[in-house]
Amino acid sequence: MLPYIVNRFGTQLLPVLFLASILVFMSVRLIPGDPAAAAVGEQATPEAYYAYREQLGLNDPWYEQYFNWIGGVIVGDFGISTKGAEASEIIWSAFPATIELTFFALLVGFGWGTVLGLLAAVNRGGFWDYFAALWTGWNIGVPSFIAGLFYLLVFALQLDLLPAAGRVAFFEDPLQAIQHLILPSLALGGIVAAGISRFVRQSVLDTMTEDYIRTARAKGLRDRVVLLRHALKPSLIPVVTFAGLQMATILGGTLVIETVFTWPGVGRALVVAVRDRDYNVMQVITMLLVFIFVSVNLLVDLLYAGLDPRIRLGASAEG
Amino acid sequence: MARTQSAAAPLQIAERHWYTDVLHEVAAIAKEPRGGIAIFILVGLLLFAYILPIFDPTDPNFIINAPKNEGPSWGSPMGTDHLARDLLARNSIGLGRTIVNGLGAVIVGWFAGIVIGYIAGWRGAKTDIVIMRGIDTLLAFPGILLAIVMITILREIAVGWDLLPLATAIAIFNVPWVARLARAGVLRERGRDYVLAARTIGCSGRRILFRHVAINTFGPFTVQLPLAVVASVLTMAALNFLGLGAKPPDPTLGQILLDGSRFMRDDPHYVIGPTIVLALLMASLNFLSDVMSERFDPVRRRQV
Repeated sequence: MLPYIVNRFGTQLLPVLFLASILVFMSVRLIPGDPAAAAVGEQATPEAYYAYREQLGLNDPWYEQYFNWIGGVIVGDFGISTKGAEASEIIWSAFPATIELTFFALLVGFGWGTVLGLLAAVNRGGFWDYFAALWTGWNIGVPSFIAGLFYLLVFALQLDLLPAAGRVAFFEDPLQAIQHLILPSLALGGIVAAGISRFVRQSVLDTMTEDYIRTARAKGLRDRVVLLRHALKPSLIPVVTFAGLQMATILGGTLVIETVFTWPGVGRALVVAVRDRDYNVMQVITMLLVFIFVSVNLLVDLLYAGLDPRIRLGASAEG
Repeated sequence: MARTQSAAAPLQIAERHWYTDVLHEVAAIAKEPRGGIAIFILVGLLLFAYILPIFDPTDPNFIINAPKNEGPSWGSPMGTDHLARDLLARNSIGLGRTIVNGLGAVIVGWFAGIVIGYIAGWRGAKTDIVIMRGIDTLLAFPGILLAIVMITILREIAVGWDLLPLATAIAIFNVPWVARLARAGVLRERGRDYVLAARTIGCSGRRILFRHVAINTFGPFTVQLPLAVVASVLTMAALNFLGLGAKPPDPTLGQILLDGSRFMRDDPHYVIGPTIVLALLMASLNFLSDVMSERFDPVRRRQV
């Protein structure tokens, strides 16, 4: 297992992060506009403007800027925002909100999706099967941000059951926090739940025809035991791979859902940073998103290699 | 003489054109219930987007003689918006613009992605490694930043075509997925006997790749294409909804949703219209992709 991890780390994770850092560095500088001009305002004297540029390090040649930045990132210094604060502080205030939302959306997606798929498979042609089909149709047909608007309209504005916008920190008031989280995570996780439920349903139906299931039944095991212990576990292997792809959907989706529910996460922080041409903040947010995406992919591959020995043996045999 | 002719006649094979294949395929898809529904809805939406404006000359950006935010009526079947513009005309133009730009982005992105994937898979070795790391990077790069960068860079060029930057960004989103598909297909096919045979009779590498191998890698593309259109149209709408790309007063579906979301509490008809249009589009494309994947995948076809 270890050679496989090292191999993946060296040939995939690091090169991708390196290329992404160059891409991020270039693209924030391609956006027209000057961070120093945006920060000091129009009434500032030229001296103040140049002093500010000097302070931000914008007068150095670009390669020096790049190496200063990347050197800082490696030791955990992300530079300062044009507003004077450390870029890392802005991240630490916005990031927990996004992580919280992503986590609960995944919970909705996988928990609800697996349960729904299992119910649909067991109850094939019955109520739950049709309900799962309906759920899938609704979530695939209606984009998550529109579903979010709809939930907002029905559950928050018309029925007044749940709060419409904003966030309460989870550790301050868990009950309030969950009330604020229900609608956005339902909107965000709904599409994942739809995919997962279809996957689990098909997978369980396929597995149920295997010989060892018949053996288990012949042994006289109860239906529930056969289903949960014998059929569900192997059915979950393809779900794990699917999960990695869904993670990207959810992370991308948070950026839109944050706007619908005025959620103070990194998506909004990124939009503000772009408006102010705040290079360091844009860079750190983007690199963080890239890092999460790449590590999740690596994690999924490791899980998969753990579940299926052929993958990791093949990899270590090659090098 | 006559006898030889009549004997030869049954052997004559009707000349096959690519479009007869396509027509057969469409007919076969339309025969399946879901495929039929999908094609029916899609044709309806295309009529709504492109034929309706010809018969209904209402200018989508013109303020009509009606109250603001009025619900559906005979004069304007989808109601009016917050500036008293006709929502039917706006949704129709908005859908048309969303489809054209989403589809254009898919076509351009797929072309680039397929060529890149083919080259990576065919050349192998260092070329493959370099290209695939670039693809991985693009895959990990947050789409929203790419879209913002494109919009700010291309803003000066995109006069008269406000959605060009967004369409470019969406085309770039499409590249890594397709490149991976194309590369996997080429890697699977390049070791086959027919490739060796073609090489033996002296075909150039480019000819083998684009004439022989390419045909055999198209299967997964047909399944993924409707899904890519779904994803691209959706991304287009979502980014418009974030206020990116579309320049008022010209509508897109995402832009109408963004405007309408402010009046959701009192005038839900404003957002319900574009929601239904978008949902119908998504549902029909998803159905289409399901039916196509079942047709092209023998394992799944047997189960049906």
